Amino acid sequence: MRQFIIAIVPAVIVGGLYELFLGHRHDYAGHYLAGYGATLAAASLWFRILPPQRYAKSSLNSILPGCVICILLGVLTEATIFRIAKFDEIDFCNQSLGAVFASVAASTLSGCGKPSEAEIDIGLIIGIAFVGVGGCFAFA
Amino acid sequence: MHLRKVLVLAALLCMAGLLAAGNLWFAARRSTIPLQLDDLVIGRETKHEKHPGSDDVYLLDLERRGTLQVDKHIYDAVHHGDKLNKAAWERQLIVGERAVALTYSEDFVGLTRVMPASLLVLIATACCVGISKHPASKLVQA
Repeated sequence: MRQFIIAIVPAVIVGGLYELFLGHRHDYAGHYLAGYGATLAAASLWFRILPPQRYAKSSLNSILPGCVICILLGVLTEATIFRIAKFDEIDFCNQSLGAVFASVAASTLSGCGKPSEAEIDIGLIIGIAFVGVGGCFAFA
Repeated sequence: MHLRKVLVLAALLCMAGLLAAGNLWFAARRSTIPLQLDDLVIGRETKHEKHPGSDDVYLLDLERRGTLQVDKHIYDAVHHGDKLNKAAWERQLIVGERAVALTYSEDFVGLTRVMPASLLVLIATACCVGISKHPASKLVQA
């Protein structure tokens, strides 16, 4: 239960802060939420394929490189398919901040014995849901 | 294991701090307030983003600095061939013979509230993660 609260509550609070203080720019919240969701989903997929005997060490060791890889993938998408007017540095910072938040949340399930597949799948579903909500904020 | 987790969380907090600072810098830069300028406008262009009219991108082509994204009120005050002059952190931009008052954008003001609050949320989350023990950790200890 604690893991799910950590996966949802902080991200929702920060998304709310974006809307409260930057309500005229829904795309900022959108980029943050999409970065969060995509990274959480990626971390969940990675945790799912890790073998149980290597899980404790590999899951923790992969948090930082995984976060950097997700940030770099964000740079790539922002510079290519989502590049409309120009590469937007603020969008990049917001989505990368989302990736860092997701990495902190994902680290709850790292450095321990492998959680059940159902637990990991809930992380994946939460991640996909955040990507969807982020996409709506960014483009709606 | 616990120390390594604390180190990972500390590294993530540092990354978040850098990104938050970057966010503020890029938004402040568009006001030109932190910039020192002594340049000539050789072109200006508006580009539309996802929501034309609300998130348009205003670009000035400067002779020395190259392309500079600026806030709308600066873009509107500047024309092709204008000479721009200001010292870093000065709240006034000299455009030819005119002085244009500089203010931070709504985006920057909003970010100055969201970024520190977000970092506090992240620190609180990291503390919760740092002290939490997943039930499956018993399997590792066994």
